[in-house]
Amino acid sequence: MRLPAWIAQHLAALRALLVLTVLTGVVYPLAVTAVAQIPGLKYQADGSLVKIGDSTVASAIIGQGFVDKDGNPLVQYFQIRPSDAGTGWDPTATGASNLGPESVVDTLPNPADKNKVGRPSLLTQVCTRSLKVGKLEGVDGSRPYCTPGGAGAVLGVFHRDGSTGPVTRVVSLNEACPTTPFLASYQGVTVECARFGADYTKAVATPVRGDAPATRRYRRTP
Amino acid sequence: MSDTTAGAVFIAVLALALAAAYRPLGDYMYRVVNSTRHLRVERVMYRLIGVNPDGEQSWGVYARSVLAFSAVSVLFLYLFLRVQHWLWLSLGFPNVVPSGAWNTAVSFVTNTNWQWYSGESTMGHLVQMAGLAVQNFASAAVGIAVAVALVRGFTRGSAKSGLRGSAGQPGPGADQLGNFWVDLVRICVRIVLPLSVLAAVVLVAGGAIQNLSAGTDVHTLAGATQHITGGPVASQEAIKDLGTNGGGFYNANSAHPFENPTAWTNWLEIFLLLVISFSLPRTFGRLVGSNKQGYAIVAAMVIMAAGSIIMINVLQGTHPGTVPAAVGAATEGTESRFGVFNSGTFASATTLTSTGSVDSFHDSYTALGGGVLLLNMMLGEVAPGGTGSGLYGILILAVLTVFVAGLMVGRTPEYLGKKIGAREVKFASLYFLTTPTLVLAGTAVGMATGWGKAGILNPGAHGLSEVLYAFTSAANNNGSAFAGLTVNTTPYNIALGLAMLLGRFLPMVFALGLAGSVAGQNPVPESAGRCWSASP
Repeated sequence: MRLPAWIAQHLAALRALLVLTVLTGVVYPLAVTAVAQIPGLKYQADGSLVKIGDSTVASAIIGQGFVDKDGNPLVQYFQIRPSDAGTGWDPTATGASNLGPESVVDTLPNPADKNKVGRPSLLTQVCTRSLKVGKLEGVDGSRPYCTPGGAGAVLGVFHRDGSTGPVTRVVSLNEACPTTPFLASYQGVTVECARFGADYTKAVATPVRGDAPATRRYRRTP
Repeated sequence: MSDTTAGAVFIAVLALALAAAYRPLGDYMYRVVNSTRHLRVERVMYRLIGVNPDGEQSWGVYARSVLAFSAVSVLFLYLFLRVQHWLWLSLGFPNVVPSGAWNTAVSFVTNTNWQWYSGESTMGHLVQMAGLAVQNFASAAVGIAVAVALVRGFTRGSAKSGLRGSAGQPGPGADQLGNFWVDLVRICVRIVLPLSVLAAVVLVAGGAIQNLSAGTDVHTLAGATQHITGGPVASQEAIKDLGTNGGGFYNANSAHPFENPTAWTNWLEIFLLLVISFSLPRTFGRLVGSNKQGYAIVAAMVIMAAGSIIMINVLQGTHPGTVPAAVGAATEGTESRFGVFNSGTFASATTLTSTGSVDSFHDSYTALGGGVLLLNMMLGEVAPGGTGSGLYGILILAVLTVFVAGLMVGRTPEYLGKKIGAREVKFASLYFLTTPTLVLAGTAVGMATGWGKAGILNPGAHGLSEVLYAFTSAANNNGSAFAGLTVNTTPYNIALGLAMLLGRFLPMVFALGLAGSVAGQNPVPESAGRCWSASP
């Protein structure tokens, strides 16, 4: 019996797929794995594992946190850069913050709920970390667009006509009450602290440069 | 050496290496696709597939073979993902949910490799290597096969006149474009597979892992526990880049030290993801019997690519924006072992080639830097584009160009000795209207619906860019992401799956239709009035 052409074609397709699966999906990876067993490659192929005595303590090329249970730095170790993998350095949940260059307004924590920590903007994360590192190392951790308290220095500016006209009200968006805002007044208007749950969507988010020295890529302490 | 100098040297060495590979690799690929001899292993494969390797196919049969192979592949991969839990090496991961399996099956078959999931917590080793990686090979080979078939359309004369192809191959019958099964098998066996073996071993030497372990629990110096993952990563990494696929073994993709361990492997990966697409114009030149035609195509690709790489490096280097100003550099989302410049070069290369692997996270790029990446994809992936798909894309662009130029100067439009008439221009126009339509319609739907907006991470205009990027990436079969967008939802999985499927196969069919159309023509004799397409 002769099969109709379209069925024959799909059968050929299925057989082609199976043949390629065996060749490129089984033979190829296993062959590479076999080659990777030779000395000089095996260490890397197994994950560059580092042993102390009998126990494996790390992979030489994967970062790990040098912090205690509460997240405070263990000062005897070199502190490595922050990690966005899971809750930090978790190889089963790799990834990035994905926050953009204008991620400057925080979602404030709910004061009534201790478990809700809010969602800090990228700017606030940068400011907080910089201040922490500065304290730890005894250097100046201040940065442009950061408040002295380590939040993003961003004002929500309300204008009379939406985005134009005289300023009617100013809120420091990343400083939750009762924090005293980093700036007393803006264009003659007193700056308020931010209240959780208040609607600031009509305000124009305005980052404030401040007078911290510009950050060079490799900044040396004076 | 300053950062800027290092970044420039990195690009210069890359350009030199690609230039050095252009002739040998392009010539080699020409010999592979134009050979009349079959290797013994290939004969065995043809017997197993049940096809006659010396039979030729018209454009319709060729297109139906492509579609049949792809349809079977989607179905097979879908089922594979749905049952992975019960197979070996599943690492205990559950079966993939239906909408996710649909999205991933389409994604890998269409050479997009868009990923809604995190590899390290979703896919077992078996499905990674025998499911996903197989499509990395197959989809790359399908792309090259279709490109070669399109070129054959131009080189082959009509049988009625008994004319031979302009490259002098023994003229096959009327409007025959070759044999899809032979092209598929040969490109896999002779081109992508040997190169992948080489690249995989080199990557292992650099530190990429290659094992079948379920992972190792280590007790860190600070007293915590860390699960160091295992897997056949290097073998998958090699074809992921070489085949312009881009689907990472891990969520962090090429930013993960096990996929891309160090600065020189980063260079190597960029080289791998560019090398086939930049060498194919040589193959094209040889096939049409004029290397100058190949140079013209590659020059167009190089100009567009160079512009993009320079723009992204300048924008990331000067880093406008509030957070980069606070940090002092556009470092968010980049790996410090690669640095800002080399990350930018990777990002540019991966979006120019429809690869979509990332060694840094595009959502955190400067506003204009992210815009350049979007532009790269919106060019239609032709500079140099995906393996094969870049070549057929730019050839169709050339067809439109000679048509418009011919109209402007009042000459008969022709390309490579074939007249460009109404039928050809219809195919070419449909080709180029497909992806923009999908991008615009998809983004419109995404922004008009609750599920579309719910996934947005960054506020304001940046949020729109996230949705636009997702549909641009899917429809152009790139697969990179503004990863802030939460796409692990049923509607996104279905919608982006459709965008990928239509964005791959509609243009492919139009390209093959164009090939069939010009293959049936008699070559136009050269005359003084013709527009010369290989020189200014």
